[in-house]
Amino acid sequence: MKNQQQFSNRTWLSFALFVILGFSIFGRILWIQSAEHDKWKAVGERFESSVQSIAPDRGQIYASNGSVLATSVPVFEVRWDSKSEAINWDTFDRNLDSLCAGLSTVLGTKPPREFKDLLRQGRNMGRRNTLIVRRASYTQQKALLDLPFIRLGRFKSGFTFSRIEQRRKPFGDLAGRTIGIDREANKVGLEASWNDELTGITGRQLQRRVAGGQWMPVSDEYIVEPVAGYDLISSIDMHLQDVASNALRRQLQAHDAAWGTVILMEVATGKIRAMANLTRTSEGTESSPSLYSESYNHAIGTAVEPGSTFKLASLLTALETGGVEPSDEMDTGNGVITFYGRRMSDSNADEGGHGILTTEEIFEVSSNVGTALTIKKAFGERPQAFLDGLKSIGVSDPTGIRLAGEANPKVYGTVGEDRWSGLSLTQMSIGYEVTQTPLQTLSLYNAIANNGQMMRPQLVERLETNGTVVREIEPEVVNQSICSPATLLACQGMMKRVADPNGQGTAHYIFAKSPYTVAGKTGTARIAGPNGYDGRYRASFAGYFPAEAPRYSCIVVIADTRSGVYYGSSIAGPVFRELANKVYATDPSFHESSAGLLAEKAKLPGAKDGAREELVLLYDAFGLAYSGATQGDWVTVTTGDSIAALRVRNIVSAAVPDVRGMGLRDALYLLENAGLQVKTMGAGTVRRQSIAPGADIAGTQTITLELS
Amino acid sequence: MRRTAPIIQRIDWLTVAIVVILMAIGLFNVASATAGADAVDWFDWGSKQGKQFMWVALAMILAGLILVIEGEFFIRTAAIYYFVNLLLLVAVLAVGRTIGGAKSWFSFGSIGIQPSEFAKTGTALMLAWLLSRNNERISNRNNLVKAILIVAIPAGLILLQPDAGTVLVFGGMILVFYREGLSGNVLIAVFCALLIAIATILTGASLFEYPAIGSASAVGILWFILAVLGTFIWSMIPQWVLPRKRKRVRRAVVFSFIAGLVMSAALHTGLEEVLKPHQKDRIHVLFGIDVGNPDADYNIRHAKAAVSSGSWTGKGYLQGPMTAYGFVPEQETDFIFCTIGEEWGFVGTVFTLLLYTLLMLRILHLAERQRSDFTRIFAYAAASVLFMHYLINIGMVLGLAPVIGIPLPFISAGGSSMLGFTLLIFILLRLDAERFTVLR
Repeated sequence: MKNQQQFSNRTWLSFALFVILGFSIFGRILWIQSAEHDKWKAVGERFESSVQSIAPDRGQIYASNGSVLATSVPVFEVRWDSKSEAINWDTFDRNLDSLCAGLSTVLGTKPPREFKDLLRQGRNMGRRNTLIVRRASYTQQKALLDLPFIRLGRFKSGFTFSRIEQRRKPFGDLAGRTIGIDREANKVGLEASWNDELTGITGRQLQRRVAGGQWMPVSDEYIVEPVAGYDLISSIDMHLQDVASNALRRQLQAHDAAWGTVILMEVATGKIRAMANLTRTSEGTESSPSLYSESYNHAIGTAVEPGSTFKLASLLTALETGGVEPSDEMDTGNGVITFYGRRMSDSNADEGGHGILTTEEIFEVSSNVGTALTIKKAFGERPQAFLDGLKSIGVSDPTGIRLAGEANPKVYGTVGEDRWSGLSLTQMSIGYEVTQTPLQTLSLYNAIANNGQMMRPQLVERLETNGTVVREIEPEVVNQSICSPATLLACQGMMKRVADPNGQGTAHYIFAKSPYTVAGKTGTARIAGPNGYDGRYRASFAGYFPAEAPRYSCIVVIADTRSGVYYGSSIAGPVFRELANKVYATDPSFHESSAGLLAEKAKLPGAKDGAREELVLLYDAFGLAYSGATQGDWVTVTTGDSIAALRVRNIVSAAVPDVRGMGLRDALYLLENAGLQVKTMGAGTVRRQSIAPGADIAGTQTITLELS
Repeated sequence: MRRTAPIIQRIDWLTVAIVVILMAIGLFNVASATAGADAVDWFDWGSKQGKQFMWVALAMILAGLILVIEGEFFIRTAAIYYFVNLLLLVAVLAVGRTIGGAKSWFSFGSIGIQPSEFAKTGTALMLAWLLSRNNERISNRNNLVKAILIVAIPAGLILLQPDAGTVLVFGGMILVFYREGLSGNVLIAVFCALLIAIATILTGASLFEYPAIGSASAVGILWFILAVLGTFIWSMIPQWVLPRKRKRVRRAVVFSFIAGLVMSAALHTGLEEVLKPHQKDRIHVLFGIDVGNPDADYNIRHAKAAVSSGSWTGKGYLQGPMTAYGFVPEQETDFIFCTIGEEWGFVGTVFTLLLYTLLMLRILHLAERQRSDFTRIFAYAAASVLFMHYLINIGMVLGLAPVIGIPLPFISAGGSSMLGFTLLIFILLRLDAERFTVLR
């Protein structure tokens, strides 16, 4: 029975095999749950899950002409965790040289040697967050992920990349303070004032933590879906902004001034087309001028004594409620007068003064004495009426522009309050003992230009999302009519005289060669230091153009020149002129002759290619002639002089449609229905599409459209 | 027990009880793994636990059917069943649906059928049929070749899918061969070959600083050790072996070691020179070699963490966060053991383990009490299949075996494996029930 015996042995062996392997598994479970328990517990704890916030994409800020003013780009902070569990130190040592060489090449911040020391040190000290680089660009991050060792992944290399959205301004400093800064605390500019609209809705999603401390979504579902912030289309025109900024900078440098600001506003709407603020940030030398940058928004944030530009407010009040007529005469004598022991003089006092002047002439030559006497005559007995008058034209209120940091003006509200004295009335009349920001001053000038209607200054035209208008920001009227038509006419007349090339106004020579007319007022205000007025001046020019049919108002303020020149006309005037010249040269509505030329020809309005039915509807509605294509959904339009030709455009399913020549709305409709993801650049008509028409559509592809 | 007692009294109820408990464990854990963070909806027939419920019910019906069919039927139709299976395995290569990179499924709407799960039973039947014929012992070379072919043909077809896990299960049939008289030397040789192969892959993937030569693959050390070992054993033959056997043993030793060296060298060259890098990586991942891919061991890390986090008594049913949030892919199928580990803890895993061990030992016990060779061989085959599944599946979850997806019998979600194993166990039970009445 040897065979039987052998079988029996084999049976037992088989049994034993089963039992032994069974026990080995039992032992393994025991091992994992006891000896290795802490290790796996630590791994397990990283897999906790919780509701995480999903930051929505912040909206972009655009200029009115479509340029991107502020956008978000991802940057990466790279750190190294030497305690990452899965680091194989042999692999580390083997790759250290090539890794450090790679880091040095990609980042260029340190030689390979120093990276090597950094990593070695991190390893020896057991550091968990050695900083490799704080802001690696997207391309650098891609390159880093390809380096030896880092390639092994977060867990096995210990290299971590945290994504940070960084706000970039493609135009750099240009309008920098107006666009603003997006940061955790102390946001400024539009970024601050429109933060809610730009931010969007923070999403919430159940996420779990996986190896390496990364949070991963548990599923595709959101508890709250993140909604990207709105894009903000500002009223800033980058071309005009550029001119304003350059002209200002040149003048600041030429006269080594402390700071300057330029605001250009559209008269009818209050929309700000340019807002430049430059402050001296580094002193120049003999050979090189001082350097200026957008570091403070003086236009809205610096409320100072306006000086002569305030005479518009005081004389307007005198004309409106003080019983003063433009033709009233006032003896300004030799240009010097004393109120309560304080001497006040005109700029030509050393030449004997102006003698007898009408109210208009007082404004024209900017006579301090004349203005003060006029106001004293009109309101000397009832100063409260003067203050009430000023209040009614809005000079004591902030403009209410939606831009962070507007300073409040200081204008006495009631006689006797605060530092009110007998001197106050006459001082106020020429722009002292009151403070205003340049924008607040401009706001009144704009109201005069706008036939008495005061507009709220506005920097944002509309909000968009994915190119669709979400909210149009309508111009806002602050005061329908600040004064009577007679007063208005008188003020407009006085302001015209100031810049009349044939007159004797303070700015008569500034616009002598300009093809357009300007109405405005110069200002040369003394600057008060700790010890009173100390021989420094703030030059300003506020006004509008063209004087007959005002389209733009503008103010230029330049403070504390060191060149010895300080008059508003010679310092601020040229900057105003340069900007006005640019506006005049580029805005076709200024050129009546050419406008007439266009009107005569009256060509058919151009149309983008698109949906046939909609186009036909429009052509019919406006009674325009068109021909061709009576069928088909989509057409190509060729606009002739008198008739538009429509040609059917074939859109084949399952192939990339030809959307060139179409508007974005039609292009999006076609492309997204074809299953493509669409990215766009620019605005207007589709000029180029990144995937050729007729190409097969495979899977989810992204097509980029260039519009212009 | 009367020889003519009704079938209900003659079947081995202990085995049935274990199987039913395993099915229940499966059902509950599949529900937990599927439901995620939501409450379990037991009456959602479209969900995975709903389907699993259906499969369990179908398996019960199938079991009942099998138990009322005469055992002789299975013996007579063994060959038919086997060849139909082979046809299905060929067909699946042609018209099957590819899931997870393997063409293993016939797809009928939302239901997939995996023929390889049934082929195990077919092969077991065929093998039992061949080896139980009178005087057909495996020591006969002719029979050995036939027996090997019976296993190798379906295994080969499955390898083409490719489904390495199931092929390994077929490899487990070597236990049947051994029990039926295959020389223990073969077992040892296979074991040695496996050992050398693994050692070659492991050493081949690391570098060694050789004196004089410098840095090179460490496989050289393995070859050196093999050579030294061979020489040593050869030199010790005079001390260990009787003179009349020395010549044979010397030949065997020289042959084995040269064969071992050649195999190792061929394997190494093949890995380094012939395979593409990503293919090599895939093999290296199986052996836990760092290939610089952080995702390679993702499953295992999470699986171990889940099992470990269960501690002694577990986090409670439906309370395991890793289960709920599906950290481990395939958690209701191949990685179901994680769910048991996380939610039922050590107690749960050991209970499951004990059930399987008990089941297998019971099957071996059933095997050894047979007078019928067919039943015994079939029982051994069934035990081998179960054993391999349990070993590879749980071993994989615990990081003992490479990640090869095969289901945990009766517990993992899936109809094919549920029905396949039911077929395997209940045919055995029917045959066992007839051990007093039918003499074969």
